[in-house]
Amino acid sequence: MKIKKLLFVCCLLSASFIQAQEAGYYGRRIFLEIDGQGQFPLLQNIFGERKGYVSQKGTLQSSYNLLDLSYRASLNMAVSEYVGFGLEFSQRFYRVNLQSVDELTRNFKDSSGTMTTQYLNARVGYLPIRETIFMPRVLVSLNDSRVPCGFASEIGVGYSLIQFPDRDLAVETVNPNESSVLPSVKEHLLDSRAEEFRGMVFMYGFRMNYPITKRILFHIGFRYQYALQFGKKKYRRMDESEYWFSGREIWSKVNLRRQLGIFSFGTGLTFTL
Amino acid sequence: MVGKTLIAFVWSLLVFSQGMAQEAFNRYQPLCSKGPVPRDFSTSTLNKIKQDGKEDLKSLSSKKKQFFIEQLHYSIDEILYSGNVTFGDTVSRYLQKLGDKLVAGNKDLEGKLRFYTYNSTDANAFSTRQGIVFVTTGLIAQLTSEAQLAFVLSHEIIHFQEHHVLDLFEYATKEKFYSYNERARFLSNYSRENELEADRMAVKMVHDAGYKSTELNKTFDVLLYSYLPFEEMKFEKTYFNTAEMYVPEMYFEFKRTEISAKFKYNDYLMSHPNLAKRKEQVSEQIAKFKDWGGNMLYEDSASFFYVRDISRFEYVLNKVYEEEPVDALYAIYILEKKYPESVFLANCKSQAWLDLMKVVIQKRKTSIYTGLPQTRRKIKYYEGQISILNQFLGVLPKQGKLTMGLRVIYDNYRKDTTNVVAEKCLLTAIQILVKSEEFDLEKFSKRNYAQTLVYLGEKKQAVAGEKAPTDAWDKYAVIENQSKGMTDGFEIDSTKFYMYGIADILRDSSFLAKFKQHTDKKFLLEKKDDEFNLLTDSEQMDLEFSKYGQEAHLKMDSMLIFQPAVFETTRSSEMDVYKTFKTRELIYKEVASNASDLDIHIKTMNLQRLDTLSAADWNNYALLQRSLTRAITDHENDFFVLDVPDLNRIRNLFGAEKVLFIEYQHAYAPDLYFGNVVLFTILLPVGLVYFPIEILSGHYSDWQFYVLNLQTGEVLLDRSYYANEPSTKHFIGSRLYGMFNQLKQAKNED
Repeated sequence: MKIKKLLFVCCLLSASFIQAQEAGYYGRRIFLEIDGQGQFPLLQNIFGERKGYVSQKGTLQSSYNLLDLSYRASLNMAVSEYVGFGLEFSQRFYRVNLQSVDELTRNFKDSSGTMTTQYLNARVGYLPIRETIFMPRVLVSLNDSRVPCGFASEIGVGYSLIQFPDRDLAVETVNPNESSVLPSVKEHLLDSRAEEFRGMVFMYGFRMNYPITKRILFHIGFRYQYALQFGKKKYRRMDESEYWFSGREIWSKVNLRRQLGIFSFGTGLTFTL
Repeated sequence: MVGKTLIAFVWSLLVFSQGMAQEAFNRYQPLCSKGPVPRDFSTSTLNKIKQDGKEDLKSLSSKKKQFFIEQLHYSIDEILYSGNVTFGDTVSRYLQKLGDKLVAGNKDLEGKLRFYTYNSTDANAFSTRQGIVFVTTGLIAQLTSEAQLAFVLSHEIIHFQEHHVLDLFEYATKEKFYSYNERARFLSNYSRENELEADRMAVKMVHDAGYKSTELNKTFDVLLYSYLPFEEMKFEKTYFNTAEMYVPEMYFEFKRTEISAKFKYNDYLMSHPNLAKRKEQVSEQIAKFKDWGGNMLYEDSASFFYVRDISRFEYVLNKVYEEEPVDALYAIYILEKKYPESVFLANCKSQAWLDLMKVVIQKRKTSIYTGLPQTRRKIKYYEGQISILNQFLGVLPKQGKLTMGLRVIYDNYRKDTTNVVAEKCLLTAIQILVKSEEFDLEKFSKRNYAQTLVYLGEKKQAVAGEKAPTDAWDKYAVIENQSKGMTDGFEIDSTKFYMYGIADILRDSSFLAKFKQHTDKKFLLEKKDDEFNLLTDSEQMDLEFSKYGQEAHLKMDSMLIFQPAVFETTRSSEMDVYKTFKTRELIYKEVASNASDLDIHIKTMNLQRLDTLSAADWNNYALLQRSLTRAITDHENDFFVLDVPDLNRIRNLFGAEKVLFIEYQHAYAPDLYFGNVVLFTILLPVGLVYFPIEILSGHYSDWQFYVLNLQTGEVLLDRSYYANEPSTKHFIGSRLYGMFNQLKQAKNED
């Protein structure tokens, strides 16, 4: 299987190097790209999540989950008039609503070995996520455009690291009289096992590269990303947990959020070197 | 006594001028512009639009007015700059003189009209709102008197005088079937009423100018039969016979196809009235002039027939350029009666035969969609005497075409071995013969037809009484002798007459040496093909890719850049005049800038500074325009050499070996219409994909790059790119940089 993959990559590259003499933009074949990417999270708001909460002036306010931004940087080389190859680094910042209703619940065996179930009517703020992606990608010009100028599609497969930079989420009880329990709730809010996840991203994008000067191009386009998240087996079991949000819950919510964030717009600049 | 001397003097003057004309036509040079450049040519389209007073357009809204003048000036200038229009030449000067005579005394028209020759085989004339009257050489070639031409010019002058083009535009804007663009381009399709009015008023104009009335109605016959050659002359059965080639008469015993033009067609749904109606109306008008008989009041016949002969020579040239060899050969046949020594006609004849010969080696292209053979040219039907020639050429087998072509081309070259065109035709003919699988030198008789007849007669007598010769032949001798055109009993098979037509050529050592040279080249190519066929699929693919890349590596450190053809169109396929000129300017700049960056030395032949161009510049421009148009039409089967000496002249003039011609067309037309916008808004997930793609990829840029070798007249490169790009500075610049970069590189000999 590995050999097949290797052969495929070799074929792709050897095919691309044919006709390489006139490649590039004004003769420059290596180019650096810096982009910003964002999406209007329409699908997850329609299908996936209810409104979540953000902390404003010390209280939690209902809010749509709109934040989803990323920056990217990539170094690329036009290997022919029509094909470019590059390595991309990107970080994406978004968040997930862990709650389906304004309630927290947990099942666990206490120190005496007794199974305990607890409920609390409380609201929890969004969980921020930082996803770091390393992605080799191929740029293929559409029709007779010349990479990196003009209309092109991009294909890439990336490795992603999903981290939670702020695990100290804002929590608020529905009944203000119960607020005294909050410090202990916060202490056991997120499962410490779910510190970070790993996954993959399969990307296909369209973009239009508009030249501005002989060295700089502006591009705008959109991407479709299918996200695969590793560790399904590890977090699959419905085991008891003293954490209000078990590893399984966090894994599932993050996985769903990533899969619904399939479509995003991006724009940036290309500098030829 | 004085009267007799005067008659003798006039007669000798006529004979002398006839002799001069004869000599001029023997060394005929194609029509070209002369003298000062008229303002119609030296003023740019944008200036014409700016300077247009629009006084006659008061009935139009300001939007329509602007659109009308933009499209009209653009369209007319496209015709002026097409390379087919000449000024200051003999024909144009004659037309101007005639036109001036027709409007003499008319204060509204005097000095307002300009007459130019439009070089085309179509029989047509049209006037424009600007006061330009174009008359095609195809029309003049068909006319039989100056009075007819005067009637045609008068008709066009009336269209101008009565502002019929405006009536037409107003009518067309009401018709929702046509786009704005189409409406503005209706230049000569006037309404029935306009046509009849122009005829009525033209009759008076011709009468006032003093022409005889009987010629007028013949003009309609000329128009009706203009699809036929300019004369209906019986085709002689012995036309192709020479001392060395005999074509049996049975080849010309076909039935002539009847001439079928209909005079009274149903014109109920047509904008033009039928010719019968027009003729009837003209007769009525003529009858109103009681003083008008059939007497010639004034007619400059000598000038007319001289101009007509020029037009007929141009007709031949145009037919050769249009690759219509049958038409060209028949026209040459007619003109040769009057000008048997014309080098021009002989060269055109050689070129026409090359066109007939090349059909033998052309491989039929098949459609990639249907798999059916594609015929590039539509089949043409011939009527009248020309149909005899067409049928003869039709039944002539491939080998016969090649042999007869070689005969004609060889004879033309032998007549004058310093004739460059004749020499190039012969070399090209040899190239075709070698390429052909039908031509085998060994099979041809070493005796000509007459010699063979004598030889066979003697042989027959010698073996008389002996055993029949065919009995003595074994199976293989029968096959061989039959292929050589021999029948039973020492007879010549007349269907293979051509086998005896090149005996003298086969004895020409220089011909044989050239033939061998090309044959050796062919073997080398075949060897390479064999080696290619032995490669694996992937090796073949690599080689093909590499070949494709190498094609553009022409080592062009210097080049001549021809006027780029640029078109900016709107979403509804209308010409965006201002944007077209803007993009054209951008291309001029980017060509200069990129060539300078890559250290390519360029010379330009373009219309950027119209006011600086002389008549000679316009002639060079027209020549190159014509050669490029012809060469790029089907450059894979290009065996055209007639223009090579002129291209060589341009090469020496500009000091460039190759010329680059760029065609660029751009439109922004995303597929966003009410229907699909509503549909994909409802189906939002699909819309999220569809809308961005359409918005981003709605630009359509179509590039064509052609490189013509000025030394050989061959197209060396035909490269096209189709990209979804806007027509901005760096999109254009980077594309040109890429192309120039390729053109500059030398071929990798490995």
